[in-house]
Amino acid sequence: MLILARKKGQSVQIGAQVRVVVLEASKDFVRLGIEAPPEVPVYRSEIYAAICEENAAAVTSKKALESLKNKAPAP
Amino acid sequence: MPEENVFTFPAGILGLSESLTRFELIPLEENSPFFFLQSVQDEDIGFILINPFAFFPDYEFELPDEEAAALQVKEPEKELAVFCIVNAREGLSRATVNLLAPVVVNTAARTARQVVLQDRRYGLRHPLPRPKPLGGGPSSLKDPAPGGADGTPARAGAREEGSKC
Repeated sequence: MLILARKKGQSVQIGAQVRVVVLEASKDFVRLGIEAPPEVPVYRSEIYAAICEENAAAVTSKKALESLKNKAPAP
Repeated sequence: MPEENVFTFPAGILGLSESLTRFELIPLEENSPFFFLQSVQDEDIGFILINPFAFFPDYEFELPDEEAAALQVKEPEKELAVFCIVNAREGLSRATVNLLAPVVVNTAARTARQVVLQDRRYGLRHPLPRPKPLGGGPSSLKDPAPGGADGTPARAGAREEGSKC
């Protein structure tokens, strides 16, 4: 992992199109501003991970769906 | 396969291979709030979707401008339809709905995106309201939820509420 020290108001350029600015910083909290083109989605990492996980869990197939529909009612 | 039901997810779907970008949207039964989103590229990949407004009448969100732009939306009220992914891994009677990351579809441009909302009211696993336990056999899938499915979604689940975005 690349580690850079930045002060409030300074920024990091990632590639040609993404810029991350430190807007506010305290002991255990930073507020970041992110400039990125619309096709580059930005997520909080934990939300991103949770949605990936939930989508993967929700994946099913037509075949599985048919057996779900025909399954006897749960007790 | 009728091309008109095939939608392109330019960004793919989170958690799946990014190469899976084309999905067919199929109503599970006539006049049902349930749909199936089938990968055109991988027959083992699909999702159960619902028209969320049939089950959660108060569901609403603002579609961020950048999402609308990415969907090539020109006339939101005419073009947009909203679906939510159902997780029925534990069986239909314990199915949950992802209200935090709805699938927003542009029925005109045939584009779609899973949009991640910044809305604390909604989570990844809301219990799917059901009028009765799964006992009615195959047909139970099409039972509308209580207070829900007045006005069955027209084409591709589009409803007036879909345009609140």
